[in-house]
Amino acid sequence: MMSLLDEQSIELRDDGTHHEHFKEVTPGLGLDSALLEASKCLQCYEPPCRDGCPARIDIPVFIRRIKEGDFAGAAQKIKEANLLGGICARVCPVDRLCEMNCTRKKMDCTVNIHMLQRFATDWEEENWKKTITIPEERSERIAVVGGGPAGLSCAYELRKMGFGVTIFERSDNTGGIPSWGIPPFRMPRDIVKSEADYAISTGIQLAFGKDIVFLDDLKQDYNAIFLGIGLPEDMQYKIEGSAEYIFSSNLFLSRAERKILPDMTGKKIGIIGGGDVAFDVARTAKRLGGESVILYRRTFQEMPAEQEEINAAINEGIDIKLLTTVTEFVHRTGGIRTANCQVMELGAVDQSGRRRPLPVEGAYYNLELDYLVWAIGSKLDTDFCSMNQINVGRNGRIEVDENMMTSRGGVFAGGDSINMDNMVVRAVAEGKKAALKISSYLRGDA
Amino acid sequence: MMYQYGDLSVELCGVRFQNPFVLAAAPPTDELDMVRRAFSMGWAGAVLKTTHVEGLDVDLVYPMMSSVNMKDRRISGLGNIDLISHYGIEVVEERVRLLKEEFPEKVVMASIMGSRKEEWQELVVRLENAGVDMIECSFSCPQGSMGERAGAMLGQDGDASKKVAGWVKSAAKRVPVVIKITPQVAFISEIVQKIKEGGADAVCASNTIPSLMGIDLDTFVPYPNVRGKSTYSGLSGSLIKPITLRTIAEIKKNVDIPITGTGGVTNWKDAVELMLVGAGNVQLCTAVMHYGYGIIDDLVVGLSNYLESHDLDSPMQLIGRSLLHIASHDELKRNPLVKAHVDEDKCVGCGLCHVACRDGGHQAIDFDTDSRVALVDEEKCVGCRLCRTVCPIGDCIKMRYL
Repeated sequence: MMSLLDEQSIELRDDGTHHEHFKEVTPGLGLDSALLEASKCLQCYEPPCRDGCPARIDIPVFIRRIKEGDFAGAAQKIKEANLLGGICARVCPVDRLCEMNCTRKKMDCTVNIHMLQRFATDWEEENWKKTITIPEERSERIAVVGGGPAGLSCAYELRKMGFGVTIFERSDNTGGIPSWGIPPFRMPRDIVKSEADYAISTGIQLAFGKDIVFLDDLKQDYNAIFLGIGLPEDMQYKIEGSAEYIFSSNLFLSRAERKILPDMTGKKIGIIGGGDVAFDVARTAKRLGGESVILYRRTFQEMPAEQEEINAAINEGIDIKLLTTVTEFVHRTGGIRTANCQVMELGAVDQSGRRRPLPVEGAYYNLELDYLVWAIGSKLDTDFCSMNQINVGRNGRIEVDENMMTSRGGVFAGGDSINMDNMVVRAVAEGKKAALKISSYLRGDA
Repeated sequence: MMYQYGDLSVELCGVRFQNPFVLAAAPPTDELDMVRRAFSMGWAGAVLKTTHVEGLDVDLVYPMMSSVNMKDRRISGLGNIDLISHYGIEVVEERVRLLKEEFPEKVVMASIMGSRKEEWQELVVRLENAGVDMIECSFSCPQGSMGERAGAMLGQDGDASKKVAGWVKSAAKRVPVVIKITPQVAFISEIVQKIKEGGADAVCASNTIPSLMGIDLDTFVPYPNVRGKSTYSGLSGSLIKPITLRTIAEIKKNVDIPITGTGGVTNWKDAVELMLVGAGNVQLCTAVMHYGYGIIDDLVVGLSNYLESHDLDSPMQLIGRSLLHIASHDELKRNPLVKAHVDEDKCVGCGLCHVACRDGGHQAIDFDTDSRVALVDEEKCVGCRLCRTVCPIGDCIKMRYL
């Protein structure tokens, strides 16, 4: 889809039409393009694409349904396996998942699975969505902590089995990161809301604004607990400077979502990091009238962001400074703030498999910036875990056994809080798996 | 021009065509300037859209077109509920005169339809006087039926066809008479035999196929929807080529009569196929309606390259060459046994052959899901060739005689 993005470079105007720029950038496939793309699918036996999907969507079947003109059936086949199929169609790193082993690649090029998935799920949004039948109510009740992808997926699967489910969500809406942390030009809010609402329509109880501190408070009313608590804390390293002009990416994006950021018009924003989130911040700031510069300590080769994001950012005119670490963010006279930047070089390969950045002695430069944003990752709320006797592994994630159960009996977990790859589809898959395990646990099988 | 292409001329009923490609009687030949343009682009001939005696009101309805779109491909088949031209003989005879003046080297054919003997014969005489090269008689338009029975086509009744062919032939002093037939009959060679007995010089095989094009699942109205009702269409285009091939082969094997072939030809390969079963030239319509007259270049270049690369001097050498390879089912050899063989180097590992053989064949293809390679079990393989038809790689599966 790179070619489509190339044509979509955004012309920014400072005339009060900024909301226009937050519309989804990548256009969906039209009917004819979708049929043509679908006809490329070979319909493999025991398909490798399905094996590459953490949610195990039966990809050739949904594509066949598109090919035969049954778009509702295609969307249902997707949603059967992945409640958040429309969200995932937009953010899955498909090069590493379904599209990686597409058999068609041996002939010419991979089938554009994610765009077909988006076509089917968008069709369902715009036309007709089948309602789901819930079996007879069971007596057991499950508390789901966190209303993001993992929590929604787990709650939805449990409802489909007839269990009573309540989602406890700290904020005032469900959807998690896709509802605020991935900007709307990549993740339309109506899609997130619609997919979350669909899950909720099965009869999930919602408790908003509930920050669960002690799980013991839930034990009395609930037979099991699922933690889909994600990674709420920001990673930062210490630099000298004025904190009021430094944001974490979470803070920046959530405030942008609520439209309570300071006016970015004409401001220069430096973003430290090289992942998708860094680019999301940079592209958001640019849309708000600012000038964004990405500051990354390694090179393009090591950059964890998806190529599509990098290309889009470059097209939108975002500056990228490589091999740069910010050491200081200081005030100078006249309200000017300067980031002192250390020039880096790449050394030996470290345990992440990438070459370690090392400072080049004596090589510094200064960058005038109005704001600095950290976008180098998030981490688990370890205080919550220790207070609730939940073991955290050396990787900084909650430890679970093969039944998705934490060190505490009856408490299960899934999503970003247990895995290292921060994928929506992984969270959905783990939520689904946990629901099955919870069901077994409540039957006494586990 | 950079390349020189060889002589593609053919002869049918003593009339010379510059190449085998002729526009069929249809919308692309229904205006004088359209035919002029087609001729100047290289078409060898045109059958002017079917005309009629003066004063007949041709009551057209719109919309009249619908199509079968196979997956992403538009117009695998085109259906029409068109009728004959609304231009009467007084217009068409003038067009014939002008076209012959302007394009003496092109073959100007006219298609006619009448009801009574006098009508058929008047049409023939006036066209002949205008200088037409050939006359085609529509016995087979699925819509505007002028047969003996309501809803039936004249070409479905052998005796009636013979009678009308006789009327036309007796009126034609100079030009050959072609009868355009329908494949929608029980025994096509019996009908054509009668037509030949009636005196026709050739047949045009064959017309569109009466069809119901499909139904709108929201309104339950079939296509094309004419204010809430529809009717049967005449189906043309790629979909009907296998029917045309069989029709022409069946006629050619049983009746000694020249054939102008039509029905499902969209490119030069289709044209070659029609000639291989016995067509002397080919008429096109649907492909032109889709892509325009310009396809004549593709047809001429493709046919010419084909002939040259196969050491053939003339398209006429193709006519009927495949007929000796068509036998009855009981004449086909049962031995030696044939088995499928998968070329492991070419196999991409989709496993389609495994599934097809498992569920539609003889469970003779094993598939290892780890190595993703298909392997034929020759003990179980009967050689049906289903696997070859589902394989996405052209030359991966081969059929081998033991």
